Amino acid sequence: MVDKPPAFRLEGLTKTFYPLIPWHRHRAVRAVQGIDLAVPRGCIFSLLGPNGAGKTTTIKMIAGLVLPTAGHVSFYDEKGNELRTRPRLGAVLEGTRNLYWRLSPLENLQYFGELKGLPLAQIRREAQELLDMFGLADRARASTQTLSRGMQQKVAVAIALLGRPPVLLLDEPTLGLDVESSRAIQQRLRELVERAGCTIVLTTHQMELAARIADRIGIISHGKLIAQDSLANLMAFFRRQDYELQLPQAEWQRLRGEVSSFRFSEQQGSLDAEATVVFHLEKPADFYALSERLLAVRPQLSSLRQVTPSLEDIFLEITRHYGGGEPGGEVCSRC
Amino acid sequence: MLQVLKLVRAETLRSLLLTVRYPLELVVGLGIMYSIFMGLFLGASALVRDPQVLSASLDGFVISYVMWFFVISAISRLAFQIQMEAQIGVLEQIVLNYPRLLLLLLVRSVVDFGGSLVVVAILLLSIMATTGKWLTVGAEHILPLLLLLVLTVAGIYGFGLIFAGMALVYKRIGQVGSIVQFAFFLLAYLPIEQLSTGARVLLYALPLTLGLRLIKLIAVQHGNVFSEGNLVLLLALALDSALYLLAGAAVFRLCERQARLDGRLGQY
Repeated sequence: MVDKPPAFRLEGLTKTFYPLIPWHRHRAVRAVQGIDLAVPRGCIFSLLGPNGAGKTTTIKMIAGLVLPTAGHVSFYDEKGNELRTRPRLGAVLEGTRNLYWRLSPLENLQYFGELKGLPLAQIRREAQELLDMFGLADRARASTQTLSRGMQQKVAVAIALLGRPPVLLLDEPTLGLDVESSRAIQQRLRELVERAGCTIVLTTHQMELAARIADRIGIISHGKLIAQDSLANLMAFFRRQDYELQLPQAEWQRLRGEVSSFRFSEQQGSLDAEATVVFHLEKPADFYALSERLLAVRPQLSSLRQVTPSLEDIFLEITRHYGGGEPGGEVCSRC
Repeated sequence: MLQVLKLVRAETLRSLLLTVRYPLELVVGLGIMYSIFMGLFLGASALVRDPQVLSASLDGFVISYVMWFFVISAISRLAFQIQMEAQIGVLEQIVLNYPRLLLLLLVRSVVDFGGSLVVVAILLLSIMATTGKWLTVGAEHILPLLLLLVLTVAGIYGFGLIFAGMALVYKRIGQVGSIVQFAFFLLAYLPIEQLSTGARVLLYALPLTLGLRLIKLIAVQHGNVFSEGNLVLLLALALDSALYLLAGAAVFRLCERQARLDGRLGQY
């Protein structure tokens, strides 16, 4: 994955939104701050971040819908040569709002297919294929406004997939979808990446979706890209340093003062007899220092294990501890 | 070129389907335009008691009204579509799939003009049937009339692009649009020829006025637009419309850039 040429690259991408009224310029909002990122060709890159982190603005800048205040986006061909113009992109940006509700799914697909410049025969073939895939074949000619929200979302995704674009930008593509449809989309996206070499940028709040589908993860907070790596590397990076200790409350109270120099978080209820403590160590060597303390105090431990964090744990950890950091303060970067 | 033709097909189909899906808008729109005309006609009949005088000026009266319809169409529909598409959220998807928004709007203008011709035909037939005054145009005048119509309307749509651009940035411009439409209504009926030279030059430089004068020259006075005296006016009309198209395109591009800078394409 690392050796693949980039599909596109963001260099110092910055966006500040200024109010239209000149004397309100002090109310400017810095939405994205100096993002540098190269997304390899044929990969699913998931951009995660809390609400208002700058994910959508970043995606819209990649799409050319929002012009950056500074920095730029460059696209590359298969040989790694920089393209002069933005290639054809597929996108789901506003979900169900990306459609003409008074037109049918088929008419929507036909209209946007023609805007994309696709031949009519290809539009018809792909539209039928996509409608079949999403189980919408029997509603193909119904007014989109009569469809459920989930079905409308499927039509929006189908429009984005039409014409097999080399780069797909998907902002919460599975929002409101049932499990079966969500899986169908995931499968289709994976096929597009593996068979057609498509590159996908996906933003989502569904961590399990990102963990299941993404090859690489980027975490954005306060407009800064604070982490980017493969999921496996992110997991390994955090697994090395998190250790969960389970012990009786009384033992924990005895131990607490001895280990106060380490960063830890307690996960205990006031009525629990058992305390669960997770130590977040800075480097692997710190584990030996912690072990020495434990050996010195010799508490009655119920268990001690290295934590395998979920993507959600990693996300929360990164955004909590690094989110407000200095620009460029990335926790790990192996792109 | 092929891509533009595809675009014309896509926009024509979309426009037709949406017109059919919102039938009330079309019917009510036509009804209102007809009612306004009848209100004006009956008002004029009450003021001008002499039927001969009324009949003599009715042709020009109808033509001014019909041309005003094109102004309404160009100014409000282009801007309204942008406003509506931003509101329902589809504008970003359109721009994403076809980033040359100006070209798309020009194609829409052509499609809209085609649709307006059909509506105008219905309106004109209704008006002529009601007033009993039938406009007659000789076969030799049809092509010059079409040329004048296209040239006049091109300038009007160029002017409409300014409002479409404003809708991209400021979103709600309905009030400005209404005032401008009213101003054009006055222009359509203003006896410009009776004004001073300076005022005439100034007013004929605006969209609609010069084209309207030449259209009336053919349709009412059955004159020749290619005669030596009128050729200068025809060239002036072509230049005027070209300038409005260029100015409209330039303003639209500026507004589009501003909308992209402010991230306003998807806002409403």
